[in-house]
Amino acid sequence: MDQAGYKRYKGKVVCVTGSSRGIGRHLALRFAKEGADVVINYFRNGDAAREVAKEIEDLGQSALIVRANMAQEEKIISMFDKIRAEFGRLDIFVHNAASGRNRSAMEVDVKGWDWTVNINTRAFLIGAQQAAQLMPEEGGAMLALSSFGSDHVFPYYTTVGASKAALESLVRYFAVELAPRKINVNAISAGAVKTDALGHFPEMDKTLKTIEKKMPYHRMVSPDDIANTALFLCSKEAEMLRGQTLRLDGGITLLVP
Amino acid sequence: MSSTLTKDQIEERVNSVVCSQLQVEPSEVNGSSLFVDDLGADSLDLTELAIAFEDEFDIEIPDSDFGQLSTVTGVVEYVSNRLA
Repeated sequence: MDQAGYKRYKGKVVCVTGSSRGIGRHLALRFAKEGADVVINYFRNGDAAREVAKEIEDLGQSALIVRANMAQEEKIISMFDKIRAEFGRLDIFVHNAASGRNRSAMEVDVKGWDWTVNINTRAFLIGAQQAAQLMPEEGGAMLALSSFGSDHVFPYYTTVGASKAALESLVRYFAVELAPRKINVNAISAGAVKTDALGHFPEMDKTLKTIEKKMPYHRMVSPDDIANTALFLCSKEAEMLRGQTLRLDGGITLLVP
Repeated sequence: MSSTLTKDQIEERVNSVVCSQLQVEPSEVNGSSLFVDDLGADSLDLTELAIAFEDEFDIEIPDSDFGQLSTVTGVVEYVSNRLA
């Protein structure tokens, strides 16, 4: 359900972290299709980021590519300095970049914990603080990408799940604190979305088939499902939804096992 | 800024980064030491090693080049070529 021609984001500047591939890439392109200039953030996939930027420019929008490791505070701050220098403002901040060392709870180590929490949670804390300073008086929006591993248990998902739970909590705190400034903050919690990232999880093929079979709607969530919801949540139409985590799960979490 | 480094200087810096990142003693590291099999690195260690090499030599190392970075000698060769 691509709303081509519906330019809800004309004149807006949108930053999507981790947007060289997967969901982030899809979000960046969908915002651009609706008229936004987009900041493409990547860490390890420069060629892919440049391809996304080219696609955005082909749509007639501006794209700024910023390489920044979301685990490093100074790199995050530097990214926002570059946004300020290029656009002088930011209207939408999408915290999508995520990482994780996948281990069972008994095998989680501090190094993997710190890496995962720094990227999945702390980067949103720092990013939201920075983004708010760049948002204009008329307001803006922030969106965090979570997963229902935050309150459900997946194999080896321990640290990512915990980091996403903390992320959803941060979303609520920022939503309340930034509401008077007309900055809306929400999260999308999706189950497994069909992207390349799933290949990194042990036994994920088996897990995916099991989930799809159980889902009342019998299909996995797609990047377009995420984008449809994201573009709504970051728009004026969603102004009374604040601090919420919307589940995109085809109804599966409604079921009793 | 590092374009005038000799291979010996690059190797010295690479060794220093490896010891610091993987928390191993200099005596445990030689040119052919495999980061994973000999020095106990896992995938996160390799990512952090790559970040540390990038910071040390002010270069960007794409994922597609990771395969060349399995030993000190491999990293020295890679960095030398990138700085040439």
